[in-house]
Amino acid sequence: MAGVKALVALSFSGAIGLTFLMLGCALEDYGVYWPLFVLIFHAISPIPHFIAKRATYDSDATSSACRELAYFFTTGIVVSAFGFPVILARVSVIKWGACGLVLAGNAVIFLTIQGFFLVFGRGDDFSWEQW
Amino acid sequence: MSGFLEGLRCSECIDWGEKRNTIASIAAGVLFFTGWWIIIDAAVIYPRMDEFNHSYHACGVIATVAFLMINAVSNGQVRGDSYSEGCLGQTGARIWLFIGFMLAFGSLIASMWILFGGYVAKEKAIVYPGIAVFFQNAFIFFGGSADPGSWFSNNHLEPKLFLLPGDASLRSPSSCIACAQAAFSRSQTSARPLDSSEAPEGPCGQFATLVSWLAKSWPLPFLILLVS
Repeated sequence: MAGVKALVALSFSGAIGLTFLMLGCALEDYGVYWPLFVLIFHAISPIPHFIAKRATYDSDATSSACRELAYFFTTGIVVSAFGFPVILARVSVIKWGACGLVLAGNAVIFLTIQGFFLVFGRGDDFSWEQW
Repeated sequence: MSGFLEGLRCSECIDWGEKRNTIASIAAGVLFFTGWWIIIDAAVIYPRMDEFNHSYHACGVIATVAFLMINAVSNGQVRGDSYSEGCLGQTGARIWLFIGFMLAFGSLIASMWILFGGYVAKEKAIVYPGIAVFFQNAFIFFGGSADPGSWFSNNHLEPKLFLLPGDASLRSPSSCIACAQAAFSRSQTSARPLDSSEAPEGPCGQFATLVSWLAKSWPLPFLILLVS
C-alpha cells in the first residue's frame, strides 16, 4: 500500500475536481445542471482497463490487443467527457464560463483517476486476490 | 534533394518498444472519437435539413464500418505468416482488407464531395456542416491508419484489436508462442527482464503520451469551431 498521504492527496484533488464541476453547475450566473452528465463518463472511464486486466490472464507484459482496445475505448470516453460540455456550450444550453469550469473539473478528475492507477496499481503484479 | 527523405523512416525512429502500441491506440482513439464529436456538434447546432442534410451522416457510418473492418485483420493474416488462420484464410483476409480500404477511401472521397458539391459549389451561407463531415471522415481515416492493428502501422507484434468470427482466440497457445518468441527476441536486445510486468514508468508514460497527444490534437477542433 502506498500510504495514507497519497490517498489524502488524491481525495483532495478529487474533491477539487468535483468542486469545479459543481461550481460550473450551481453558481448563480449559471444554474443549469446538465453538465453533471459528465460524471457518467468519469465513472465508466476505468472500466475498459479493468475488463482488459481480467480478460488477459497471462502476464502479457509485451503487447496485448485487449489492453490496447481498452486504451482505445478509455481515450474515447475521455474525449467524450471533454466534448460533451463544449457541445452544450455551443448550443447555449450552458454558458461558456460554466463550460470552462466543467472542463477544468474534468481535467482534475481524470488526473486523479490516473493518479489512483499510478499509486495503487503497483502492488498487484501477479496477485489476483485483491478482487 | 534526392535523398533528403531517407532519414524519415518512422518505423525505425520510433523505437519505444511496447509503448508504441499504446501510443498508437491512444492516438487512434483520440482521432476517432474527436471525429465523431465534431459531427455530433454540427448535428446539434444545425438541426434543420436545409442547413445540414442529415443523410450525410451515412458517410461517417460507412467510415466507422471501414475502420472496424481494417482493424479486424492483422498484418500477419494478410501476409500469411500468423499461426491463427481465422475463418477466412489468407485470401479472405486480403479481400476483407481490400473491401475495408475501399470503403474507407470511398467515405473520405464522399466527404470531400459533400463539402465541395453540397456546400461550396452551392455557395451556401453555412458551410460548417460540410467542413464537419469532411473532418469527421478525415479523422476517422487517420485514426484507422494509426491503430496498431491496421495495415499501415509497422507493428511487428501484430496484435489484433478485433477477432474475426471463428478466429482462434487471443489466448491460443500458438499466438502466445508467437508473442513470446517476439518478446524474447526483443528482450535479448533490450535490457529489460523477460517477465517484467509493466515498467514503473508505464502508466506515467501512457499518461504523458495521452496528455501530449491531447495537447497536439485538441487545437484542431477549436480551430474548426473558430472557423464556423
